[in-house]
Amino acid sequence: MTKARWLGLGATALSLVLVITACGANSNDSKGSANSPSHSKAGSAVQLGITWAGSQVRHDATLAALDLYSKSNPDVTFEPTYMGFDTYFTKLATLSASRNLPDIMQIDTGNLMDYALRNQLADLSGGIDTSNMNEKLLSAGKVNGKLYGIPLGVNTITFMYNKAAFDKLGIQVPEKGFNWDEWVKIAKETKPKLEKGKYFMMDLSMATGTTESDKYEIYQLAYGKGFIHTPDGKFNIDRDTYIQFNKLFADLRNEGIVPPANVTAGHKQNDPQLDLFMNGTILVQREYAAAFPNFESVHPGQFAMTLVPSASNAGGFMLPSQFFTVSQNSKYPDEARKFIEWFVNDKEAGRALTLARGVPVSKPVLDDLSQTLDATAQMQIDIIDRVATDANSFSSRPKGYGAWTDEWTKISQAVAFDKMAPEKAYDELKKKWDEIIKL
Amino acid sequence: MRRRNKHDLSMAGYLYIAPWLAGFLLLTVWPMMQSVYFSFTNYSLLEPAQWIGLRNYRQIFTEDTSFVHSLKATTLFVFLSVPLKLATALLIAIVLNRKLKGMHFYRTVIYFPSLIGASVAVAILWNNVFGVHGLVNQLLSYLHIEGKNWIGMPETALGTLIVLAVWQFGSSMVIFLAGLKQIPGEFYEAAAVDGAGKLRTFFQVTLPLLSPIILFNLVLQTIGSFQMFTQAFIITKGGPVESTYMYALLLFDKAFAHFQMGYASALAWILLAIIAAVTALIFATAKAWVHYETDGR
Repeated sequence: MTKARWLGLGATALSLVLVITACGANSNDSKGSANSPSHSKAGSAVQLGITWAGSQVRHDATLAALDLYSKSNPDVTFEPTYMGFDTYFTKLATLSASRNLPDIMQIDTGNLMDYALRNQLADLSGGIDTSNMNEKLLSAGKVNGKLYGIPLGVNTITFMYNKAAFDKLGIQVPEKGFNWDEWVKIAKETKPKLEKGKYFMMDLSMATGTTESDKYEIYQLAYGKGFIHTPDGKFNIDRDTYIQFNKLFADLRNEGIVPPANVTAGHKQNDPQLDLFMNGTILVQREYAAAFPNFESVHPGQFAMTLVPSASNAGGFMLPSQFFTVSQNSKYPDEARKFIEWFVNDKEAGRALTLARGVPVSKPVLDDLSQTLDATAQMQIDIIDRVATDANSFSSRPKGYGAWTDEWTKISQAVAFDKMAPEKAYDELKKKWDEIIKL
Repeated sequence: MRRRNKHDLSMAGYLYIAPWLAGFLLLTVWPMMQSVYFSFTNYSLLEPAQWIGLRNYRQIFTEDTSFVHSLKATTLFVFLSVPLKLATALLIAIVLNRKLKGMHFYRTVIYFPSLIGASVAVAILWNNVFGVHGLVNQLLSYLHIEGKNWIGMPETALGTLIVLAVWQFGSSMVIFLAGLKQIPGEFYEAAAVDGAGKLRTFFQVTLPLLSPIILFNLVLQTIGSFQMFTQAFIITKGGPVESTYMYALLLFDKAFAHFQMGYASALAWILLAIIAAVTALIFATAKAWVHYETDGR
């Protein structure tokens, strides 16, 4: 009896403790969301959740812009979450599943459709002043006529090269870049001059991460066969061009102009040690202009950009560097829109962000910013200007594109390691497209 | 009165375990039930799930080449890494079981690799060991052999992960060490009196008496190895050419990168079935080789 009573007492005490601690945890946890409504009753304080991915340069610039906005709009504060790209989209997917998406999210051209077509995003048509933006760029943020993504910057695919090494080797890159034949010729001439373990360029036929099919896409564009999918999401890889491309790079690999497959497999983008371009193993890579500051910050003054090679056509295209989107379930859609409008149109915001999110989309912001920029930043603007004249016009990627490019990565590796013929690889890519891309 | 008393007691017991029970039911059992359901749906994480019957399972078994590759890589990993790891752990446990000065220090130092676990630091370390300019290639260059990027080759990438797994033998080693200490000294004395050599003592005394511990470690490591994820995710990303595409990595990609949570749930249940089958197999063979002192055998 007494024993039981003691046990009972203990249990009561324990449950009491639990209740107390549970309450404590609860109020702490919900501070973020519970805070705002209670405040909005009193005044009009709003806390906007905002999330993005990128490098430290981008994090710092974006945080500075958020501070700036909160200073001029004291009733708006932010709850920012930011990280590298490697985990960003998996995190976003889980947040979405638990209906915890923040109010404002950075999303890419690669998966705008994934989210828009699954009713995760608010329609921003008419809510934000986009009059200063290039219409071609804006259209990439539209899905079925509705505007879901506001482009934050202009970006373009480029050939980035090690200018310091090029100068030493006496290679002059012309204003309009080289065409494919010229690149191959220069590569072959340069090869004997490079020390052991160094290679002229990146093996574009072999993907090492996600969404790297653009390494081939620029080749197909240059040969006039268009993007690898049509604007309405149909498979559009040209079989002959694809095979020719793989044969070309197999030759370059055998000649030691691009690294052996096992070296390329070790490439880790933006890792100062393992990024083959950053660590000087290769002299040329395809990379987006918006990523230039990352390379610049590791080795200032060493790198430069030029247009991707042309053939019968230009190979390049421009695209929005990223979008800001607003969650369908946001409690403050109007505040979120107001913020995004400021983010892309305000000159002070532009000065805080500089080029960390690509070249500003608004002409007045860009003109204002241009006066303050240094030479390297000017290079980023300059490359956009040079690409712009004959750029292929871009449309956002179809739903499921990210999953398909993962298949691309595996298949491209199988080809590069001589485990699959390009002809078979083409069939596989087509088969996977039909399986995965369903619009 | 007595009955009531008993009832009170069990109530109190449940109250005590209530926090754990609530967590177990809400955070383990409930999600598991849900995943059974999801495995029969096309749940994408972003949209409500729709019932599609056995389609996920049919697709996994008949069409999915990645499933075949990942199963192959995972099986290879388990069958190579587990025996190697246990052998290493046992060997080192025996060495550390000696009575030497400063043994505590050695034990700590040798356990250390296991503490690092699977982290970015390990990924960097492994690249410094097996990369193009890594330690292994430097050693090879003294022998005038030209090295490769061992992590980047389909034939050797899995091997580097196995070496990593074996290197992190610490937890098994600690359990072995505890087991060794349990073996009564008189067995060794008797063996010595009978004139048994070191090797013979090991095979006739140590191994049989340690066999329950070996079974325990074997089961634990097998289950853990089937679920190997982080090392492959960080160091190789499953590549090159799917040679290190661990089953858990495939599952993760489907669930969180490809918006195929339903499909991933089906994959998870298949993995559970495989692990259960292998574990059952181990237990079935255990009768033949595990020796319990209390058996009277």
